[in-house]
Parts: sequence; C-alpha cells; structure tokens
Amino acid sequence: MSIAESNIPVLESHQLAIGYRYPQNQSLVLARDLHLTIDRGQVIGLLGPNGSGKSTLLRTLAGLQPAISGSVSVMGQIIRSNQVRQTARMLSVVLTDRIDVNNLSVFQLVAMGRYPYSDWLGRSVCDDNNLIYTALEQVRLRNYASRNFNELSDGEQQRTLIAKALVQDTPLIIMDEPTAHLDLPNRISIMKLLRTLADDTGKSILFSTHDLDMAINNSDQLWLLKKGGVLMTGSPSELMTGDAFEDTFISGTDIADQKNVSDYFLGLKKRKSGD
Amino acid sequence: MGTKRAAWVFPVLTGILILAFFGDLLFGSVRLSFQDFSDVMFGRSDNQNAGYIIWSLRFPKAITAILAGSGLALCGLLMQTLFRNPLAGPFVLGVSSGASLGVALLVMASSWFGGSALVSVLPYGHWGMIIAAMAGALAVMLFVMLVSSRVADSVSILIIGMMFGSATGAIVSLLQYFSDPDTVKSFLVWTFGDISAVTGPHLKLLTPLVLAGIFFGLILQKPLNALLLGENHARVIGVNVKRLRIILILITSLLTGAITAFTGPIGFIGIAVPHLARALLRSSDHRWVTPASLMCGAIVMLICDIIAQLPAYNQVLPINTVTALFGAPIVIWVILRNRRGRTPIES
Repeated sequence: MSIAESNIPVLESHQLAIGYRYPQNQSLVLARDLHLTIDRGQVIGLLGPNGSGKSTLLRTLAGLQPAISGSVSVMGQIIRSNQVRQTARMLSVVLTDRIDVNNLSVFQLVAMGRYPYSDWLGRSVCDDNNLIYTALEQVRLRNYASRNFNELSDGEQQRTLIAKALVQDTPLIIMDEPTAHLDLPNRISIMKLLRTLADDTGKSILFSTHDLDMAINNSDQLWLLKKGGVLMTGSPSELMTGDAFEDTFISGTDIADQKNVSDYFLGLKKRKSGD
Repeated sequence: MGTKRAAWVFPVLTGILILAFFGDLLFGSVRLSFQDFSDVMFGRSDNQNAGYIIWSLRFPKAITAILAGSGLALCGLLMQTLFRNPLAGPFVLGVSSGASLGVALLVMASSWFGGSALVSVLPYGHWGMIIAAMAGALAVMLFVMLVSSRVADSVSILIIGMMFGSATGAIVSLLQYFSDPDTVKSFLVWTFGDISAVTGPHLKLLTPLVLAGIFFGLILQKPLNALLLGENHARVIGVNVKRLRIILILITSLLTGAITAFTGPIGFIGIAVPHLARALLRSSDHRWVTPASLMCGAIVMLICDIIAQLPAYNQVLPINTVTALFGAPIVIWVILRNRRGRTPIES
C-alpha cells in the first residue's frame, strides 16, 4: 500500500442521515449530519441505549440499507446498497442472525467468506484453503475445521463467524453486538480477539455493544449514540472525563432510573480512575 | 460434508435410475414378454406391435416421467432453500393453481358457450389444455414477479403466493359448482395428472424448457448454499439476494408451469424428494443435493408410473394418487431412519 493510499481513512461518512423511508415520501430519521471516520487498525465501540439506532447505523454503514441522505465510503470508494458484491470486498459484517443449517462444517462456513472472490461456478482465483486455515488459526479454532457448526458453543460459533469475516479479506469488519448472549469468559475472549486482530492485521473493527466496561477497555475510540440522533465520538478516556456517558444513557429514561444510571457511571468512573 | 456418502449414493442412484427407466418401458397395460422386450431393445424384433408400444407409447412416457420428476423435485428444492421452509414446494407460488384456472376456464367456458369466442380461438383438446394451462401459469407468475420486486422479504412472497393459490382454487371451485357433471369430470381427470398424454411433439417443447431450468438450477449452487445461512448472512458475503430471488421464482414458475401444463398438477414429488435427497446424503450442500434431487425425482416418478400401470393390467391409476399414496410412506421411512431428531433445514 502506498503512502498516499494509507492516508485515506478506512471508512468515512459524509452528511450521513440514517433512518427508514416509508411510502408517500414519509421517513423516520434517527440521526443526521453524521461525519464519521475510522482509521486503519482502529477498534471502535458503538454504544447507546436501546432504540437509539445503533443497528440502523451499522446497517447503513455496511450498505445493508440505504441512507436517507449523504454517503459512506470505504477506502475512498462509495458504498452503494445495490452493489452487494463490490461492498462485500470492501467490508465484512458479522451478524447476530442465527444460522440454522444442519451438516455444515466450520470449514465450509468459513469458506463462504470467499464468496465475493469466486466465479459463477464457485471456483476461486487464489489459494483459499490457506487463507481459511490461517483465519481459523487466528480465532483459535484450527482443530475445529471439520466440526459441525451447529454443535459448537455460542462462543465458538461467534469465533467461526469472525473467521468468515477474516477470509473475506476486507480492511473493515463491522460487528453487531458480537458479545451478546455470551458468558463472561467468552465476552472477554472475543473482545481480546478483536483487539489482537486489529493490532496484528491492521484491520479496522467497528462493533456495537451494551458492554460498557469491555468497550472502554478495548476500544481506541467510542461512538456514543443518544436517542434523538446526537452522536459523540472520542477516546474512552476523553469521554470518561465529561458527562458524555450520563448524557447518552440518561435521556429518555424515567426519573427513578436516571438516579440509578448516574450512580452507575459514578461508580464506573471511580473504578477506572483507580486503575 | 456429504462427500463420503456421495461416493456411494450417486452410483446407486444411477443404477436405480437405469433399472427404473427400463422397468417403465417393460411394464404397462399391455403385457410384454421379456424376450419381446429385449428383442425390441436390441433392434432385432419383427414384432411391429411390441416396437410400437415401446417406442411410441412407453418411451415418451418414460422420458416425460424423468423430465417431470426431476423438474418438480428441483423446483421443490429451490423453493425450500429460498423460503428456508421445509414445507415449501413447487406449488407454493400458486403457479399450478393458475394453470388449473386456465384449464378450468377453457373446459367449462367451452361447455357453457359451445363454439363461442374462447373456443374458437383455442383448439379444444390436448394442445388447447396446454395453452390454457400455460397462460394461467404465466399470469400468476407475472403477478408473483411483480409482487416480489416490490416486497422486501421472502416470507411475504410465500404468503401472497399461497393466498393467490387459495383464491384461484376458489374460483375453480365456483366454476365447477356452476358446471354440468360431464364438464367437471373432464377437468377432474386433468387434475389427476397424466404423463401418458405427453407424446413426441409435446416433448419437443417440454424437453428444452425443463433442461434449461435444470441448467440454471445447477449453476446456482454457490449462491443457494449461501442462502442456507439466511438472507442477511448471504447479503453480507456478496449475494445479490433480491436478484437471486427473482431468478429462482422465474425458474420455478417456468418449470412448474410447463410441467403442469403438459401433465396436470403432480403433487408430492416437489415437497418430498428434496428431503429424500438430503436424508440420503446427510447434507444440505447444493453441490450434492441438487443432482441427487434431480435423480431421485426422476426415479420416484418412474417407479410411481410403473405402480400406476400394474394393479389390474388393463386399468391405469391416476399418477397423482400414486405419487402420494406410495411415495409418502417411503419418504417418511427414509427420513425417520436417517435422522436423529432434526430436519436438514429447519425454519
């Protein structure tokens, strides 16, 4: 990669408005005027209360749903929601939708990540097996290649899907709540894995989560999305010094909860400053 | 997965297919001795009748059985994958109901206004039925295509297709209610399915249609496999789900419409055979399941045709009753035997 290219942000959004369009020219806008940037090798955690539009934002950035207005580009190329194949070569997405296919091996599932590079017969132009085994190595599932995907634990399934995103060989990986439904050891291990992958491979990772603690510890940047569409960005330590977290999570809750939430953040900040 | 089993499943299926094909030529309402049969096969017979029966009657019928069986099985497989629903089949889109409506309109309208507009345009008889069925199937197909280009999710298409099938079925019932018994009977006979009515000239049209459908079904293995993961998972690895959905609906409607037009609606094969193929291979991988479904469909159809001819030796059972009556228990047995609790595809 030349120096000029490496200065291009991995992801850039310009005047982006996200939301849903309805018939008769009506639309629900969840957030507007978003100018977001992700640099190479960055791990970015997207936090916000339920219903603030985290998933919508991720889906829009990934080209899975059209933006209300504005544009998203990855490595300088604009993402269009109708150019699925080109998009799949620029960014990979790890979804939470359950996969329910019998008799599908871990290897076969990871191999699906090579889909955007294969011709119409499913043949690929480069040495896929090597890539697949390297990816399985990176998520520490090398010995699981021939296991049935449905028989894996939730944590192992999540790793398999991450390996699938790795073989897709994109500069950016987007994950919608990668640690949802996982127990504590698995949550820690997935977050460490994301950190290691970003550091080792230079890939950028954008993930949404409700796990504040893990996000603060493992992200280079946090995006806080508040109900009503205000998005604050900054490094975890910057955001911890102000009232950004309280502001993001308290709006829209009732009085009783507001007290509890602000107490929680007080405790969290105390613990972090004691580190 | 399934690769190890494929190593014996495909040779066995090929063997059974060849046996069933020759079995279908050998057995029929006219009893042929094995001697006569082999003489005709090796071209050293001077028995004109045996030659006529085999080459002009049974050969086109066996070819039709193969085309219809494999075509319907393929449609069932495509629809089960598209809708991720093990109960989907070639008829879920209402295409065969459209074909039924076309035939019902032709048969019954011509009895009401004998010699009037519709009948003067369409030749009444086998070609007339085929044209009417194709027109009906095509109308439904265009409707489904129109809907699927506007509706975002496959489940809505499934529901709309089934609703349309029900509505069309109701119109056909109404037509029957207001028609005289003879007319109703000639329509009912069509709904029993009949592969022996398909002769040489019909095959010249049916064969390329079915082969084209099978060709496209075979080259779509890779996106179909991706679709098994779910529409969203397929999209993020670069499958154009919307376009794939339209292609699948197009192939299925064309195949189902064409086959139904020529043979009448043949039930059961489309839903059951893909399950049979998956159970045999213990795999959902379309690289194996698609060819296995094609072969199983052809085999089941040939065997059903043999059974339909056997019982009285001069009476032929309607093929539609045989496919369900004899096929269903076999498939239930295979699936129960091969499975530990779960279907290969579960919604």
